[in-house]
Amino acid sequence: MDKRTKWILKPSMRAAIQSVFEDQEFTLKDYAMEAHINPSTAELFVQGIGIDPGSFEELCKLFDLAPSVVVADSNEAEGLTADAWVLLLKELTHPAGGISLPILETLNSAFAKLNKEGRAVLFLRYEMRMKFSEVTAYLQKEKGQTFSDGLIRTYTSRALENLESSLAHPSAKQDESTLTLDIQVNNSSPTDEVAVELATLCKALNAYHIACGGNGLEIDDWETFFVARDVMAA
Amino acid sequence: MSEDRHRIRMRQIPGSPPDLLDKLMESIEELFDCGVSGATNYVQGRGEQESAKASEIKAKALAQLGGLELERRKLIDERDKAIAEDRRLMYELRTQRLKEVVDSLIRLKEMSVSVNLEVVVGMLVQAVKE
Repeated sequence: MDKRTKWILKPSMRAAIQSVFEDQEFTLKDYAMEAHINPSTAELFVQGIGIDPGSFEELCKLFDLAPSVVVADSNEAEGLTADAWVLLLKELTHPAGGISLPILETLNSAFAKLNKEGRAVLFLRYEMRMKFSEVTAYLQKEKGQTFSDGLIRTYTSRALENLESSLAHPSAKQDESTLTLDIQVNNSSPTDEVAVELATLCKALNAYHIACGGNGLEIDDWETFFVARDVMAA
Repeated sequence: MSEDRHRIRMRQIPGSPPDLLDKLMESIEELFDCGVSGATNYVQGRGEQESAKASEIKAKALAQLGGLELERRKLIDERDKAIAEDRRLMYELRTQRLKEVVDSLIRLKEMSVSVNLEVVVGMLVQAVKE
């Protein structure tokens, strides 16, 4: 059964993709999914790979991703702005997090959130990580398929190689400015109070940014965030 | 990448006015010395103990920031309402927000914590290529 899902992109989205990837086609490969974007024709294909069609179906069900829902010359794609597309692609291609996760799930989450809130970001990455472990656990349990960390890393590094070669002539003009807070403590600093105050500071900076007309700031440190959340849940 | 850095990075959400971060920094620096110590601007705990402590503090602080996205929507609504009502309200809100940032920096200083703020400009695709 052909699992390719074709998305026809609006001209504004196409322009956004071209601004990042020029006219070069590129393919993202995950251990379970493949996404192919052709900026010239403004087409995006998503396809399950690496697992049999039955498992793919199961995965779709597991994450409530009926392929028909993801098919997109649907209204879902219409709701995305050019900026949102760039953002989405950034999530997919982020060297730290995007690649090693099921692309289809990523897209779906991103669309759901983008439609609802106008964007997706940190939470999306965090959620993707969680789903990733759920997928591997599911495959192991139900299908007897094992995806070791090593294998996942292999796929990840291949995906990154593909991506790098596809990005030979980047021309992105996306402003990725960050505000960094460098912290220095000494032994007399009270740990918990300082942590609370630092969180307050981050929130205050976010609030000030918005008050001045910005769209806000977000923590760009998903690994730490993930670890912290994980520890909290344990 | 040094593991001893204790840095929290806050990314500007797309769609914000250009140079806004620089303007924010300027206004904060007028009220608080955010540390312009050049190359040593990022921090390493001076000893192993301090490094571990900074790491713990950072993790704890980040764990409290899960609701930032929800708060963001609320703050944007509040701002838009202020703009719609009165320009003066808008400036009051801005001043209040700036005061909250500086107050927090001062409280941290009182706890013997120095926080250096810095705007770092980067590009998406460059980051991918690295």
